[in-house]
Parts: sequence; C-alpha cells; structure tokens
Amino acid sequence: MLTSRILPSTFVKNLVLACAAALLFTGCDFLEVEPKQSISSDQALATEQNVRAALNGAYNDFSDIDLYGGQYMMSPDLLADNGDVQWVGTFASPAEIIRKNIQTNNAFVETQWTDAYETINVANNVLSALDQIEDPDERERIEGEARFIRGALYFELVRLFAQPWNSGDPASNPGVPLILDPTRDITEDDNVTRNSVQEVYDRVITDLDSARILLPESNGALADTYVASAFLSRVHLMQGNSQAAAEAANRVLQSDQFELAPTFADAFNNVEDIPEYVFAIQVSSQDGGNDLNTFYAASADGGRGDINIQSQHLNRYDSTDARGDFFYIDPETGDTRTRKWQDDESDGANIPVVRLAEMYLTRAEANLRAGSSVGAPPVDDVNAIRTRAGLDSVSTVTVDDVLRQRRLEFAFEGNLLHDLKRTERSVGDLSFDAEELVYPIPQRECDANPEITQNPGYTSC
Amino acid sequence: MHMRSLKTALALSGFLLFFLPGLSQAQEVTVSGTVTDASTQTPLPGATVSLQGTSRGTATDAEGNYELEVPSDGTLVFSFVGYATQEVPVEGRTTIDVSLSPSQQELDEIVVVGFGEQEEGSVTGSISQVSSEDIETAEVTSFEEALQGRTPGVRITNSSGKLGQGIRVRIRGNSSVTGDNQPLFVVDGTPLNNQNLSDNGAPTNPLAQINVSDIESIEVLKDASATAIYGARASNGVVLITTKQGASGGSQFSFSLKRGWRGPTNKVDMMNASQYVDYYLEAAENSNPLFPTFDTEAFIRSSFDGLAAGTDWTQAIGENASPVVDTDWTDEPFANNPTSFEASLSARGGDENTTFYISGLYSETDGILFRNSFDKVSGRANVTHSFSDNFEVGTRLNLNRVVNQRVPNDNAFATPIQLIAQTPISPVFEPQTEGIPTSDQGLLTEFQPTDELFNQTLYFNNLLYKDNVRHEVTTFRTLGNAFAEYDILNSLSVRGEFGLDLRSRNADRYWNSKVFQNVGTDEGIGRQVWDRIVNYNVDAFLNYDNTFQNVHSLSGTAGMQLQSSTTNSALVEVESFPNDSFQQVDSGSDIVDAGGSETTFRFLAYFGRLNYNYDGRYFLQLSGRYEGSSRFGEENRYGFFPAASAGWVLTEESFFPSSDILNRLKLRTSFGITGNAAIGNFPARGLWGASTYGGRSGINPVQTPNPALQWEQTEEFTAGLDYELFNSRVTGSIDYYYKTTDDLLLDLNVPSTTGFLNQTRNVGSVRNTGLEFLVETDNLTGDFSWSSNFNISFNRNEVTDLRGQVLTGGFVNQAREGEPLGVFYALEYAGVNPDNGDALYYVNERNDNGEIINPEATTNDPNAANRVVIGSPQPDFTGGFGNTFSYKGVQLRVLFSFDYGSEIFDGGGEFKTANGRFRDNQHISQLDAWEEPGDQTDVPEPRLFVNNGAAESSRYLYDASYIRLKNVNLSYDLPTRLVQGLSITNARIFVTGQNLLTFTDYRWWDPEANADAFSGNLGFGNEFYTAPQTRSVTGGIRLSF
Repeated sequence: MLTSRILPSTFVKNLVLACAAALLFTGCDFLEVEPKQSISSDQALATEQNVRAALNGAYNDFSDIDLYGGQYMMSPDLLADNGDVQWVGTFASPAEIIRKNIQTNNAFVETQWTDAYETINVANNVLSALDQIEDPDERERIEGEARFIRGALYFELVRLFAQPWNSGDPASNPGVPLILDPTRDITEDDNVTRNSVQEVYDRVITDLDSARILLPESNGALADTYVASAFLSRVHLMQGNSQAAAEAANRVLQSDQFELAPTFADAFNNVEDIPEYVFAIQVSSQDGGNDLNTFYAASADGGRGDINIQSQHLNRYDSTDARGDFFYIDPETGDTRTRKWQDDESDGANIPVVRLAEMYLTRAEANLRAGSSVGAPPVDDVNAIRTRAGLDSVSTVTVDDVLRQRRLEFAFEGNLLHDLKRTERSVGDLSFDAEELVYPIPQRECDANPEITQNPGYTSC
Repeated sequence: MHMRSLKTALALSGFLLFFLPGLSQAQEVTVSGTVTDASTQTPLPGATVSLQGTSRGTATDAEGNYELEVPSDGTLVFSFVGYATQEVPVEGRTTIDVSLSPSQQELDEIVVVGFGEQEEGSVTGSISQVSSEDIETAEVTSFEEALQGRTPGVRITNSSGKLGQGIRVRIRGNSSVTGDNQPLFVVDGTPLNNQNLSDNGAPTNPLAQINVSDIESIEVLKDASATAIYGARASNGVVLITTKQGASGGSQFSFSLKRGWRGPTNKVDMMNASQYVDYYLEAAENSNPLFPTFDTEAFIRSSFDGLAAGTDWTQAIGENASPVVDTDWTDEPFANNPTSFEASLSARGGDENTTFYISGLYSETDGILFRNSFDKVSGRANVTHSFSDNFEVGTRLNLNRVVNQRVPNDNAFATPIQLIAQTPISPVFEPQTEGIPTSDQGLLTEFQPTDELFNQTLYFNNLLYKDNVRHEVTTFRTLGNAFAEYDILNSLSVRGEFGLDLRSRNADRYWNSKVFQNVGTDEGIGRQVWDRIVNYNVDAFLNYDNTFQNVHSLSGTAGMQLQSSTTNSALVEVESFPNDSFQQVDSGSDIVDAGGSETTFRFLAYFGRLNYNYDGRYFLQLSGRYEGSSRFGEENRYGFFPAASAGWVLTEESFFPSSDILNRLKLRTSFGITGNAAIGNFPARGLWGASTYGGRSGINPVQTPNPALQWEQTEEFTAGLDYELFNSRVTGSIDYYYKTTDDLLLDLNVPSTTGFLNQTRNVGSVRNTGLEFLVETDNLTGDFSWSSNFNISFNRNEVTDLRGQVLTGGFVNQAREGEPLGVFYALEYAGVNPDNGDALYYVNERNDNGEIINPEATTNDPNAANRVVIGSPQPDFTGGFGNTFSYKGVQLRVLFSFDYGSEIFDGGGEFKTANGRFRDNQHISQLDAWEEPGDQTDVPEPRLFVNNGAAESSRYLYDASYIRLKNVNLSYDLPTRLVQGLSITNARIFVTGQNLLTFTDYRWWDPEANADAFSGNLGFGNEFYTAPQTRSVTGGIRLSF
C-alpha cells in the first residue's frame, strides 16, 4: 500500500510539468510552422538578389517543353503539315493537331496557353520590382530581358490562338488577353476578355522594341539586343512590314556577333551555343527538357519516334542539298527521322530558337518585297544559305525562291505555319485563314473564366 | 527517502506473504472438478484455479481436471486466457465443476471510443465494430480490406491487384472535393500520419505495414457525435484500431503457419494473330483513301514484317490461317504460380499486476503480376503494469519492416498489364534464324524461340523488366505508445500518453542497359529515394465515471492533445554506369537528379465529452473539440467542433409491454460539426518556389495567398435505432444520416491568365445522405449453430455548390454542381451509322437555359458534339452478407460483398477498343465492327490512324456492379484427445479462400478497379490497364500451448 502512494505523487508532479510544457508550446509558437522549400510572396521580390532570381525563374518557364522547349516549334509544324510527315504516336493531342481536328480540351494546346501566361506573370513580377536593382545598367538589362520574354510570348499566343494579321480586320479580330501587371491576389477582375489582334501586336512591338533599346550587345546565353531585333523581324514579316523586317534582320546580321556554322550539320545538336545561334534554350542533363527530341527522335536517341518523315518531304531537296541528307533511318522501326533533334537532354544539346540563317532569308525576302537592298542584295543572302547547304550559287532570286529556302532550311523548326499564313498559302484544302488552323481557347480557360470567348469553328465556351 | 520506504514495504509484504498461510486457522478441504468451455462443453486444459487472496493455485490437466486443497470457506478463482474469470465460493463442497465463457462476448459489449471506452448499450453515436475473429479469418494484406462487406456505411476500394497499393476507404460517402477523403486512423490512441510516399505515381498504402493478427478490434466512428472529439480531422470518419492486450490468469502461446496459392480474378480476351492481321489489313485498306499521300496498306504490311520479328505473318491471313506466331499476351503479365507464406507466433498472459501480449510475424507474399511482392516482418510488445490498485503504466510497441517489390503505375509502358497491347504476331522471344525455312519474301515460316526477349514489339516489351530492373521499397515503421493512468478517486482518473509513429522508407531503383528503349539510356540509371516521417502526439486527459442514487450515471473526459509531424525526403538519380554489374548510385558517373525537402504540420486541441444516463433508459452525450492547425490561415487558425447526441431505450419503460418479440429497442439521434484539414501543409500562404535555368537558380510564384483559409466544415445529423428481437436472436440497427459539408477546401480553377491554375479557397458545398441497415441473426444454436449477418448501405452524394466551377480529374471525372462527386462527363456515344460505318455521337446541343434541344441529333464529328453527364463512379448501394456454421470443432464462414450501380470509365478504351486507330491489339468485341452498308453494330469501321469513335465517350463506360464471394473460411479444431500428449491446448487447421467467385457483367479484368496513375479525389472509377484483384486459397495450422 505504501508503494502506491509514492509513485503517483511523483507522477502527478511530472504530469503537471508535462502539461505546463505543453501549454508553453501553445503560446502561438507551436502552430507557427514555416515552409522550407519556398518563400513567402512578400519576401520574394524584397531584395535585389531575389529579383534577379525571379528573372531566371521567368527564363525557366520560358524554356518549358510546352513553350520554347519544343512545342512552340513542333505543334505549329504539325498543324501546317500536308503529308511531309506522319504522326504515328499514341498521344491524342498531336494526332488531333496534325489532323486539323483539334478538340477544345487538347492538352498540348492547353499548356501552350497556360504556361505562357504563367511565364508572363513572372516577367510582370520582375518588371514591378525593378526599383530593387541598384545599378542602372543592370536595371535596364533586367527590364529588357523581362520585356523580351513577355513580348515574345504574346507574339506566339496571338499568332497561335487568333486569326492571322492579314485576315480580316486585326483591330476587331479577337486576339488574347493582355495582362501587364503581376497577380497579387485573384478577384473577379481577373475574368478578363480578349484584346484585339491589333492591340496584342502593338504590345508585342512595344515590348520587343524596348528590349532592343535596353538590352546589351551580348548577354551570355540570355536575351541580348539582337534577339529582340530578330523577334522584331519576325513580327514585321507577319505584319507584311517588309521595310522594318529588313532593317531588324539587317541589324542582327551587321552586328559581328554571329556567323553561320561552317556546315549545316554543325548548326544542330550543340551542347554550347555556337555563333550561329542568335538565341537558344539551354539544356543540360540536370535541367531542361526537349520536346523536339522526345517526339522526332528514335527511341535509341531518347525519343519516342512518333513523327515519321515521308518521301514527300525528302523529295523537296535537290540531290546535292546537304540538308536533304540530314536524316537517318530509325534502327528499330525503319522509318526516316530528322537529325535536327537527335541529341536528347542527357546529351545536353541546346535548342536553337533563332539561327542567323533566318536573318539572311528574312532580309532577302523583305528586301525583295520592298524593292530595297538594305544591308546586302537579296541574291547574296540567299546564296549564303545555298552554298552552305552545298547548292550552287544563283544569280537571281525571287520571293518564291526565298520561301522555298525557308521551308528547307527551317523544316521542323516551327516556322512553316506562320510562313504559310503570312504569305496566304493554303494547307492542303484549308485556306491560310481557315478556322481549323487557329487553336481553340482551351476548355479549362472557358470553364474558369466566363468572360472569355471561343474561336469560331469550336464548341463555344 | 522514498526508495528506502519502497524497499521496506516490499520486504514487509514479502514477509507477510511468507507467513500468512501458516497463520490460517480455517478447515482445509480438497476440492476437485473439471473446467470446460461454456459454449462447446469441451475441457479446458491449462486453466488457472487459485484461492482468492493468496498465491495458492494450480492448473487444469489435459482433460480439464484439477485438484486443490483450500479452506472450506474460501473462494476459488477460475481463469483462462480469452475467457471471463469466475469466482466460486467453496462453501464446504469437494467437487466444483465450472464452465467458462469466452470473454469475446464480454469484449463485444465494450466499444472503444475516442479517448475512452463505453458500454455498447450506452452508445448514442454510430459506431461499427469489427472483431479480431473477422479480421483474422479474412486473409488480407492490409486490415482495411477486412472491413469490406462487413461494415455498413463503409466502402472499400482496393485500386488493383498490385501488392501494397493504395486502398480507398470512404465512410458515409465523399465529403470533400479536393481535400483527402480518407478517414483518420488512430492506433492505440496515436493518430497516424498516413501520407503516401510513393515514388512512381501509384499511391501506396502505409497501413499495410500493420500486422493484421495483432488487432483486437476495429471501431469505425461514423457520425459526428462519435467523431467530433477528433475535431478538425473528423469529417471523413475515424477508424480506431485497438491491438491485443495481455490478460491475467496463466499464459497462452500460439504458433501458426500458412501457405497460400494466388492468381488473378480474371483475364481478358484479345484478338489472336489471325483476327488481328485480318482486322488491321482491313483498317489500313479502309483508311487508305483518306490519306492522299500516304499508303496505309504498304505501311501496315511493312510494319507487320518488323512486329512479327521477320516471321511470316501472312500465314495468319484469312479463313484457313495457320499463324507462325500467335502469342497470347494476356497471359504474360502474370507471375508463374505466385504463393504466400506466413509464420507467426504470439504469447499472451500475465498475473494480477502485469499483463503482456507479444507477437512476431514473418510473411512473404508474391503478387499476381511478375516482379511484384510484399514481405513483412513485424514484432509487437504490449505490456501493462499496475503498481497498485490505482496506478497503471503501459506501452504498446510495434516495429515492422516491409519490403515491397513494386511494378510501374498503370500509365507506364513498363506496367505488366500493358503487354496486352502488343500484337499477337509478335513473339515473346527473338526467333532463331539458323536453319529455319523462309518464304519467298524471306520471312521465317517456322518459329523457334531463342532465349532472348524480342525487343522490337509495338510497345516496349516490358517482360525485360523481369530481370533488368529493381524497384525495391523498404519501409520501417514504428508505432509506439506509452501511457500512465492514475486513479485520483474511485471515479476520477488522469491519463497521460505519448505516441509515436515513425516511418523510414527507401526506394532503391535501378534500370540496366537492356531496358534502354523504355528509359532512353543504355548505360543504366540508378535512383535512391529516402523519406522519414516523425509523427508524435502528447495527450493528457481526465476521465470521470460515477453513479448517483443508483440511477444517475455521469461520466466525462476532458483534456488536450498536440501532434506534430515532419516529413524529410532526399533523392539522387544517376546515369552512366560502367556496365550492368554495377548497380548502386555510387557507380554512376552522371548525377541527373538530386533533391531534399522538409515539411511539417501541427495540431493543438482541447477536447471534452460528457455522458449522462438515467437508469439505462435515457442517454445524453455532449462533446467538443477546440482545435488549431498550422495549415490554416492566420485569420482562422482555431475552430470549435461540438456535437450532441441522445438515446432512449423504449423497452426499459414501464409502459412498454414486455414482449418476447421485441426485447430491446433504443432510439438515438445526434447532431454535430466536424472539420477536414486534409490539405497541403501551406495552402494559405503566397509562395515562391525555387527553379533553375542555364545552371543558375531562380524563383517562381507557385501559390497566391489566402490568409482566411480554414478547415472544411461538416454538419451531420443522424437518427437511428438499435433493436433486439426474438430473445435477442435477431439484433441490428438502422441509421439515417444527413450530412452537409460547407467551406470546401477547393483548388478552384482560376483564369490561367493570372499566371496561376488554381487557388485553395473555402467555397462550395457537398451533401451526403444515406441509410444503413444491419441485421445479425442466430438462426440455430446448440451443437450445430448457424448465424447470419446482412448489411446494406445507400449513400446519395451531391456536389451542391462549387460557385459555378467545374473541376476535373481522372480521364473525364468532374465535380459539377447538382451531380455526385466524380461524375463522368463526356460525349454521348450514339452507335454506328449503318450506311458508312462512322461512329456517331449525340450532338446534345443546349439552348440558353441549358436544356438539350433535339436530343436525337447525331454527328460523326466529336468536335461538333457536346459533353454531358454519362454516368457516375458512385454506387447506388453497397453491402455484404455472411453466414457462419459451426458443428463441434468445425466452423465455416462465408462472406459475400456487393456493390451496385457504380460505373467505370475505361481510359484505355481509346487504345484497346479503338477502331484500329493505332496498331494496338484490340479486344475481341471489336470483331463485330461495321463492314458493309446495312450492318447494325455499335463497333465502328476500323480505320488505321483515324479516330473513328475513339473520342472519350459513353462508349467506354461500363457498369461495374458486382457480387463477390469475398471470403470463405473453413476451420477444424482437432479433438483434444488427439493432441493432449503434446501439451497442446488447441490445434486448428483451416483453409481460406478470397475472391473465389465474382458475378458481374464488367468487360475488363475486375469491377473493383481504380487506375492508380489517375487516382485522386476526383479521379476514381477508372480503368487503365488496371491489374485484377487477387484470388487466393490459403491453408494453415494454428497450435496453442
């Protein structure tokens, strides 16, 4: 009996201590737990270092496989295809795209929209916090890079999700919503409507032109003033503004920063950026993805072997054209594949977004259309590309010659759909302004935003 | 000082004990008799017979006989493990025979509730209890499976027949749209952290770590009055697991061995080589005109050359085909003769002061799929010690280790079941070419396999995974609990508990060079993932229990609980190994992935419960919990969750006529508010995460802030009754509930133009209403006894408010206002146009009021059709019925479970029933395809590379109703006389069958399916190459000493 009296009193004491300790915990602190893998929004843009990091975050999104990591090149090429390639993969989304039968819930189309806006929001965040950057040169550079990213993405969005510039009235055709401020919280005001095609193009030119002025001549692997000019040359071509396109391309060509690779083959599958790359997405085995490799390359090269190159395409090349030899036979399936995207992420090959070759052909075409010879005569520019490909020089060129060179030089690099549209050529039976050649506004956006309107030809929102 | 008094006291009591017998003056008599089992009348060897208040005693012999010298006025105490103890005064007799009743009956009358126990008769909430006997005879990998068909209001879905996979447990429906809907699991008072740590996209089940035979009882708390004491985590119900404890009065040692034979419940029928070739040649011919620049017929023929490994596939063409290769790939995913083995032992016993239960288990289980297994080692020690009449301490400790060889998720080319997509003209092994005759085209006209797997199949030949890949997940889990309880007064006690749930997990993965087609590198990949969860709780609470004036019973509980849970993870992945002999990450030269993370959540709560009962007639219970969590926003960190319930036993009233028909009738009702906090750890914060680009680090916004974020709130009303009829041979209960959940923690889709896809907000409501019926009957008693049970539950679930939003999951699952959670929303298939073989869809065009105009209109363009609700994965009703027959030592238990009205969407339909769109092998049902004008069929014309009917539509929706012979258990207790010489007290042999029969119209493998790679709150009721459930027969023997 004695034994039982002793222990309990100690126990009760301990219990009281335990309770007291527990109550101490409770003083607010116990439930205050900070995340370890992320930081709060209010800290995110509070320092110079964080703003720099946010800019790099924007590049990270910009390089996503759904954007310049591949789909901004591959998906429009499939949409523009008329038998040059065959889709044999099991993914339903690209199959719909190549069949010109896109459903509103197409997953590839959806991410090309959502990821672009995600990136734009990061760029808007950077632009809102430029005050944090002490050094005025650095502040200008960061602003230029953020504007480049935003301008480039609005350019892709408006030409994928809206009628082309040269179809109807761009001032009344719906483009895409223009969001220029960072999102701090989400309210009814975020149920935005679409700006017109004209408004979006105007913003693209404003952003890219600011970037051209603000950015330095060289900036490592990141955006410099010349990639802004290169993108401007694309925008002006789309708008049929030949004079401006020639001048923008000429600015890149005359910069002495870039030169063509010695051979066509040298222009691809490079781990480091080469002088031909005006801008390229950085990929390494640790970081970055390459959807072009995933879908174009054989499985032995880390791809899925989903896109077979057809003889219709191979027949486009002259027999001496080195570009016509830049194919290989898939050892497993016997199908023909392009060498352009043969190296995969583990090889660390970068993805060229703008090559100098494009500036030659853009300047040539724009000069021919404008009847000018900004920088160099068109025939010289075309010959620069022809001779590198192993073709003979020519003495005269037409716009059609240039367009033919563009098709061969940039096959599977994402230019075809936009070239066809701006030159009002059809895709099979589909006219350049056919509803089927414009992406639908993604179903998820229709479901989340009652104010947004669908493109013609698709189940309305 | 204290220690000295302790020693003195011990010495003194020892001294007294030693001399006490000598001081006795009473007359001594020799008493003898037999101790038997009250229900079977068989002798009980090894029972303890002792003289009350002394250490004098003996044990019964093999025939249950005893003899003991005792004072004629003494009292004998008869006790035996597992039986109720009896005290019998000697009163001068010399022969005393005693029948002991199994204490199970006693245990049944006690119900474990949150922070305490209650007598079954006084419970006013809705609680289902599953006994150890039901659990032990179920032969399940994880104990939740034993609830299936046994507990009304509980729906269990095992995602597939893969071992260690996640199991969905839903109590009274789905109350959350984005928060977790799994109940809170509490083992011996410790709330578990059951976070899924899977590293391959298919959820795993951490509860499978627990040794099923350690469980004494499972209580499923269903209504708010039972669960409110668990506050912010109670909305999905609470499952209390109580493990076995020791018992005073002798000891018992049991040893058992089991061996099982396993296989799939079903296989599917795909086309054979001849059917396949004819079908695809037709498909290519049909689509050729649609491709002006592409010769589909030439394509398919040259493709067949490759797929057939150079064998002559043309011999499979036509009526009198004699295929060179005709592989039945539907057999290939399954393991050869998978078996299971289990050895376990337990010891249980104790004396008046200390009781113990210890157990050990070793089991090896093969999966029905190749390279899938689940091996478990578990040890438990439950010890309770009383220092005195009023002070008790104890511990419940379980250590276990599980090694799970895992297979890839259902959406991976490497998952075994996807082999059925391979073409039947592809051989499993490479053909021999030496000396094999060839056709004119140079194709092999005979097939002789080499021992090398053919790796040019249509999809990756994942049989290569058998020997070239490792995915071994080793998990150690420690569940521990230490407590001390002190009775301050007779009626008041205080209890302190410290609980621990430690989990450490390592996924060791390796792919060698031979699977390069699947992983993209031929130099090997190694990956190591380590996770650790440290989850602890500290509880302190008072229990009060008293009766006044014999009729007023008052009891209560009040206390606090805090819980903290931290998860750490680290991983590394490397490539480029020197050769296939090097398999650890150390040997890879290229690090391609590495990471580490930590996350924590905490809860702090104060709770109380008050029970009042007047004369066993009127019952009242009030309970509540005030609880805060680190997960909630700063503005709403704490919530209060109250509940009240009342009961009235009509049959105890004097005005109620006593009747042999209605022996007992209790009405009860409850109302309460509970919460659900099963969301991410930091959903209220605005957050930026880290990223990298070009070798430099960056940050990106990942979440917008919502400081007002709080728990989901469920209000639940229950009305029910418990009844006993015909001398209590028929018992049961009926429950009705109405449960509304508001302030849903919704990942609301937001316009992506904000840069975000969704935000967690408290908006929206879900309603569950339902009826539950339980009937248990003793049909025959006596030597031959027969008892039955039946339960059925109806739950109606409706998402009542989502602020007009639509949420999506799975393939076509949605949360939509006015519909059950997870409804299938897709195109409505309208069959085939008899004129041209085009697949048709109903247009279902709506007017501005949302009404469908012209419901008969169809189109062959899926883009011109509108989606509608085509079905629901939620059942109309579920339940089970069982029978138990006993005769002498033979017992037969049979349990059926059923699920009616649920549907399954086949996400793989667009590949395996897809009009020959790709080259995947097709289900034999596709042989009914349209061929010529006038054909009436719902299978469209095959067209290679063309989507003719393969859009997501009701064509791929199947009724998944079933009745299943879930469990059959036959056991035989050997007669005592056969084993008595071996000092064995009981020997039982038994055989158990699981899932032996299934009655269903479901087309694919198994109606109990939930594609793991697409599973989530909304993603359920989907099929995607989902492995069937396991059918098993297990035999075993159990010896008790």
